[in-house]
Amino acid sequence: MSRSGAGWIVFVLVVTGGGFTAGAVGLLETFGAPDSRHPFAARVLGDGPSAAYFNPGLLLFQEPGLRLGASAIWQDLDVELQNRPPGVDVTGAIYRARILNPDGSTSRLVFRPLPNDRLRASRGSYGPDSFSLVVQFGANVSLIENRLALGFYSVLPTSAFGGQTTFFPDEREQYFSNSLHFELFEDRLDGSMFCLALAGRPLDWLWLGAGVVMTNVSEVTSSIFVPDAADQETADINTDISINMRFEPHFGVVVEPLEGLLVTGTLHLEARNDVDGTGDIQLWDYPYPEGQDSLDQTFAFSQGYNPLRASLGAAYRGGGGGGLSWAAGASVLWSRWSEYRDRHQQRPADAWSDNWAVSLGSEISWGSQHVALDAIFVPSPVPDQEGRSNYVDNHRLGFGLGWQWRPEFGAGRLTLTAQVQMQHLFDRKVQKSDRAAHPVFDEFPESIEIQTGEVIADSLGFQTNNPGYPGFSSRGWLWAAGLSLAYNY
Amino acid sequence: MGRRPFFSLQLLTGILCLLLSAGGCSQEGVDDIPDGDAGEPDGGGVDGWGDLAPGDDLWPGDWNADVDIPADFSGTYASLQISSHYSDVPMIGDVQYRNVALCRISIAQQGAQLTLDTEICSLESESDTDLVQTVFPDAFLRSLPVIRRPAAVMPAADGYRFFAPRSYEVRGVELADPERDPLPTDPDDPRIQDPDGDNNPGLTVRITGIVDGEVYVIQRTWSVMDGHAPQTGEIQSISGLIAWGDEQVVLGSDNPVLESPREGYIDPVAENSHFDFKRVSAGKSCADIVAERDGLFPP
Repeated sequence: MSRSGAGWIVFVLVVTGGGFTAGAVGLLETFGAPDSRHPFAARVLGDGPSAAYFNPGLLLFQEPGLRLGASAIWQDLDVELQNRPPGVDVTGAIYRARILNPDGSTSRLVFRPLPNDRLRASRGSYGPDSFSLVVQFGANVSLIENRLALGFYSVLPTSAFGGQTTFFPDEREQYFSNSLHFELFEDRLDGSMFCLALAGRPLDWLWLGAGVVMTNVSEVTSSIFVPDAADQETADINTDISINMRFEPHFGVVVEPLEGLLVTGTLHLEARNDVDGTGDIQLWDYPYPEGQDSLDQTFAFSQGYNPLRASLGAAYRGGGGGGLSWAAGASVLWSRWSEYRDRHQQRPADAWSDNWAVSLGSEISWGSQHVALDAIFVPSPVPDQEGRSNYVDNHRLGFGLGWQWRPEFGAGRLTLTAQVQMQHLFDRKVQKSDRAAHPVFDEFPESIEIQTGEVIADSLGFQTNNPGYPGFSSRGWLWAAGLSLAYNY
Repeated sequence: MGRRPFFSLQLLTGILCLLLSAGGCSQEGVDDIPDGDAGEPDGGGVDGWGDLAPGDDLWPGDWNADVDIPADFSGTYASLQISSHYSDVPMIGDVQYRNVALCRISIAQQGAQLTLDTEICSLESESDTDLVQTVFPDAFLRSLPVIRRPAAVMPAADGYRFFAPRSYEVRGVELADPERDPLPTDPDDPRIQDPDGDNNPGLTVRITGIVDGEVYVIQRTWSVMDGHAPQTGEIQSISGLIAWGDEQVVLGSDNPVLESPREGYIDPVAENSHFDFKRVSAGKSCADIVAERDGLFPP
C-alpha cells in the first residue's frame, strides 16, 4: 500500500485541483481538527490525517489508513449597531456641493458619500449567521514503518469549492452591504484546503515533519468596452484569468524527553490566496490621459489570510490499571496578526496585535473507547475599533467533546470519531472616539452649493455614513459537530 | 490651456452670445438671418448705437431710420432666449444642449431705432442627458453687467420687423480689438480678468454629474436677432430667431477631463434658437420675472 497509496494521494491532489484555494485553513484554525477527538489540542494530541496540517511530526503516531468525515458548522453571530444621533445623515445636497476651504476657495469633493436615502442597503441589514457542511478526507501512508510516513488531508465544502466575499472595514462599505462583518469568520470559514506532509523519525525520541498547504495566486484582467456611457448596462468584455499554485510550508517537531512525555512545536508560515486584477476599460469617445488608450482599474484581494503561527506544547500519556489510560496536553499558539492584511490586501490603519491562544486537551481511554475534552481560549488580536475601521472580532472561549471507538475490523481496525464543540464570542462594545488615531471623519465637510455659492446647511456639523458610527457591540457562538470514519491497517 | 472643454463651450457662449453682444468671435454658427457683411463693431456705445448710422451694412438693406413707426416699443420686457447647440460629450457622443436665459430688457425708442438694455436674471442649461449638467454659479451671473445693444424696427406686412445686428462680446478678458484679437491662452496673461471674483482666471462654470469640476474660461461671442412684433400701438410681444456663434478658451480646470479639447457645433436647425419678449410693468424686477416665468412663458 505504501507506494500505491502515495501515488493515489498525488492522483487525488491533481484530480481535485489542488491548486485552488486554501480557504479552509481559516476553518481549521478556528474549529480545530474536525476529524479528531481533540479538535483544539490537535497540535499536541492530534489523531488522524489532520495531523498533516496541525503537526506533521505527529503523523508517525497515527496508524496508516484512510479517513472520511463530515462536519456541520453553524456561525451564530450578532452585531448590534448603536442608533445614529440626529444630524449625521448625508443628504442629497452632497450632489451639488463643493468643499469650502479655510481660505475661502472651493474644491471638489474628496470623499464622495451617498445620500442616506440612496444607499442601496439599509444600515446593518446584512446577517452574518451561516450554516455549512464540509467533508474531510485524509490518508496516512507508512513509507518506512515507524520511520517515514506520508500524510494527506483535505477539506471540501459541500457548497462552493472556493469563494470569497470581500467587504470594506470602514465608511466605504456604505456603498455595499452597509453593515459590519466579523473579520475572522464568515467567508474565511468557507472554501477548500489541500495539505500534504511528510514525517520522519531520525532518532527514537525525535519526530520531524514538514508539509505544504496549497494556495493560489490568481491574476484577472478584464478588458471592457463601454460603447455608450448613457447605457452602462451594455458592455463588451473579455477576460484573461490565470491561477498559479503556491505552496505554503509548515513544520512540526515532537520530542519525547521522557517516556510518555511529548513536547511539540509547530511553525506555519503565512498563507493566503491572492487575487490581483485589472479592469482595462475603454470608453467610447473618451479623452484618455496622454499615452493611454484605456483606463485601468486595479484591485487586489486576499482570501483567507493566516499569519505566521508558531506553537509550543506538551502532552503526557499515562497508563492505568485494567486497560485504562489517560492523556493530557497543553499548547500555546502565537500568531503574528500584527502583519494582518484584510480582504483588500490592506493593513489595518490601527495595527493589530500578535496573540497567544491557549489550548488544553485531555482524554481517558479504555479498551477501544476514547473520550476527550478540549478547551481553547483565543484573545482577539483586534484593537478596540474607536476609529473609522470596523474590524469586528471578539475574545473566544471554546470547549470540545470527542468520542472515539476503534473496533477491530477484518485485518485492520475501524475508527469512528464523533465530536461536538462550542465557542463563545465574548460580548464586546465599541464606541467611536474623535481622539482615535484614525477617527471617523466628516464625509460632508462644510460646503457651498455649486450655483448659489451659499453654505449648505446640511453640510454643517458632522456627517458620516460609516456603518459603525457611533458604536457597536458584537457577540456570538460558534457551533460544530462532526463525524468521521476511518479504516486503519 | 487654450483647449476647448468637452461640452460647455457653446453652452456657455451661446447664452452670452444672445445676451451680451458687443465684442468679437471666430466660431461660426447658424447665420441665415440677414445681417449684411460684417461691418464695424458696435463697441458698446453709450446708447448702443455707437458709430452706426442708417444705411450701414450691418443693417438690413431696406431699413430706413426715417420711416414713421406708429408703435411704442419702449418699455420693460421679460425675455426668454433659447440657443441650441450640440457638443461632443466624452463617452456619450453628440448631446443637444438648450441654453435658456431669462432676462429683463428695457427698450428705449427713437423712431425706428431701439436701444436694448439686457439684464440676465437666470441661466439654465437643458440637455437630452442627465449624466452631465452645467451650472452657472450665481457669482457668474452677478459678474455680467447690463448689456446695451442697438436694434431697429421697420414696418412689415402684419406688424413690425425687429432686428438686432451682429454684435460681439468678450467675457473674462480685456481685448483692444474685441472682434479680432486672438483670445489669450495663458492664464497669466495680464489681459485676463476675474469677473466673478473667485480668484480663478476668467469666468468659472461648474459641471456636475458623472464628471464634475470647475472650468475657467474666457470667451467671445456674437449674435443677431431677427424677429417680429405683430401688434401696433403699444407693443406687447416680440419674437424671432437668433443666429449666433462663439469662441472660447479653457484656461484651466480642477478636473483634467474637463480640459480635454472637444468639438461642438451650433444646432443647424435655425428655429431651435429663438427669443420671446413679453411686455411687463416697469416695476418688475429680475426676481419677479424669475418667479413669474411659467406665467409669462408657459412651458
